[in-house]
Amino acid sequence: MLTLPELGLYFSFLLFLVGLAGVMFRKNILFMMLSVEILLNAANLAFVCASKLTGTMDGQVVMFFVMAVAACEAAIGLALIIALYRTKASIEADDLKALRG
Amino acid sequence: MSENFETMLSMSFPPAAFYLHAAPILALLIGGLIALIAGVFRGNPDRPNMLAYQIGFVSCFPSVIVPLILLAAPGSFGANTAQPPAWLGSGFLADQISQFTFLIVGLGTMFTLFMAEISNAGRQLLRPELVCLLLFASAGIMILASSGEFMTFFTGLELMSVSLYVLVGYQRQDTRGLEAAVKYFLMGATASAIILMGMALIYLNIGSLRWSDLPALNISLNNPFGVIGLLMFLIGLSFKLGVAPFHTWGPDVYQGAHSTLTGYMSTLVKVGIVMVLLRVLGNGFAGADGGPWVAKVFWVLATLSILVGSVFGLVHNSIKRMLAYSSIANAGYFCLAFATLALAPKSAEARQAVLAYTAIYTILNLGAFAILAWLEDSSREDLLKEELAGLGKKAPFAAVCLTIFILGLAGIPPAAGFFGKFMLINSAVSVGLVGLAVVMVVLSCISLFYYLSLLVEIWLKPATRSSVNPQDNEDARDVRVLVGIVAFASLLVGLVGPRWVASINPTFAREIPVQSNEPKTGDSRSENLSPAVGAVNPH
Repeated sequence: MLTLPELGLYFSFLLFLVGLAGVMFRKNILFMMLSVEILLNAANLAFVCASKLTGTMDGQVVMFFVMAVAACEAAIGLALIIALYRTKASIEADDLKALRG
Repeated sequence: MSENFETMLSMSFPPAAFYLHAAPILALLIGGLIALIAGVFRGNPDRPNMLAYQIGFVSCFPSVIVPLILLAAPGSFGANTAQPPAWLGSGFLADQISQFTFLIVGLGTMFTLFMAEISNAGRQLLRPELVCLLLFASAGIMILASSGEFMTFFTGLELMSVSLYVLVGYQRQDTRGLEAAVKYFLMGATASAIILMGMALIYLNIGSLRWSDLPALNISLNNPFGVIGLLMFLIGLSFKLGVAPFHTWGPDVYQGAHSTLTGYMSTLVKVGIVMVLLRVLGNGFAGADGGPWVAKVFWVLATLSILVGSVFGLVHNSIKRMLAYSSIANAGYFCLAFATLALAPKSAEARQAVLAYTAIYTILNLGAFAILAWLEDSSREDLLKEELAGLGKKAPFAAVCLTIFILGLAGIPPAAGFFGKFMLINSAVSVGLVGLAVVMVVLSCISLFYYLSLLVEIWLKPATRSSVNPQDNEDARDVRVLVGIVAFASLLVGLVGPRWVASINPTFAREIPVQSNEPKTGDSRSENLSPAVGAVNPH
């Protein structure tokens, strides 16, 4: 029988996979950004559960830092997406082909 | 009551020596905020952003002066002692590696600001926000290079990355810049999340976020969470370093960003990440096969990077893309150094080789991109290889300097790059990585093709109608002086640099244990740890 923190840990792995799949397979940049947020939250959950499992407080402190950082990243990402939409009128990843590569 | 208060104060504030050691970071952060405010006051109407620029320039002074004092003065403030101190709970390591990084980053930031000020295109960039973002990014690099544990590292990493996402897309009307910024943002944010998840798994195993506790991590297949965690952590850092196979964002971002900023991104950012990996790997790993396992990971990354950097550079015509692949190849050399460090974590020689190569690579790449920025300034963005034809006749000075930088990046003896690579390969061979060293040298020969094809265009081909016409005015004189200084410095560092770096004490700082009644955390942790790890371990 899994305890709650272990269950949370496995759930965070699942979330992480969902987020990773979203970043890799989604074509809409807005959804890719949302998937990155899922990734960060998965890591948060893993940190909190690991904190409970190891009996140390460090992980819970990291969670607060990561929440602040995720907010910054969301702000920057949205700003970039809006600026991109204004110049290209599209936020599809496939339309990003001015740079060959 | 008052006594209590005083003890509280003395516990919550670090000692005065901390403020001296951390002055570079603090000055950059405060300077960045003041520069942002300075945009409100308009002094000279011809150059409305001069004030912010000057503030930015002055805030870089401490990051040059303080390291010079601390690296030169023997025995001062604990920096030169056998065991340098750490403050803020391992959050700030006051050792010579930190000071060395501060010096490089400070000089690089001053150079970037100066380049932006003296070129035409740069001056359009130079608004208070640019100064602020540059200073914050530099402060982030310094924080991450001097951090001894994960939380400070992550804060510094994000301070750096978030500033850079904005800097890449700084020209909001430029579609290419924005595209590069969005790509960089998505890749960088994903890499941050992977680093975070990796560290969560490592933390689950060792119950600590400090690099110095990493040797407690059990690296074996019985402990899948630990291995996957470490792997994710290293992969995330490789993403940020631009190591193949995680390099795909690199060429696009380098091509899309303005050349002045590309120089900054391709050098100083890597300095920070390299120092983190130096600290992480320099603590060693548990068990007889922990170190070799990590070395194998870097073996693969190094081979792939040098292969991708050498081969794919051949097929591109854009000079910025070629330099991007060149920096991927150089990241391969850093991976060679990390493989060495993983095998011989306490080797002073290997650590010094990393420091020397970092300094040399920074100077060479900053110089090369500065010349590109100058040439682009007078014609257009994104120069092609053919457009350099006849440069040797039109602008001999720029051509000579560019030649020095290209030879350096290629690693041909008179230029600085050779000595850096020599030290790296020397230390790798001395720990038994002969096979990898041979692979690196052989594949470097392939990369000579595109380095030399640039030199052929510069010196041997006659000028065509499409080739660049470097501007020749007052600005050009400033650029010439600046680039000349960098070219001279790269030669000088190539000659005396290795000896200077050998005088640096590469010992990592350690936290001085606080006298308290708490039980020793290390023991209690390892006791708490084993059942927890066993419980979540599926095997």
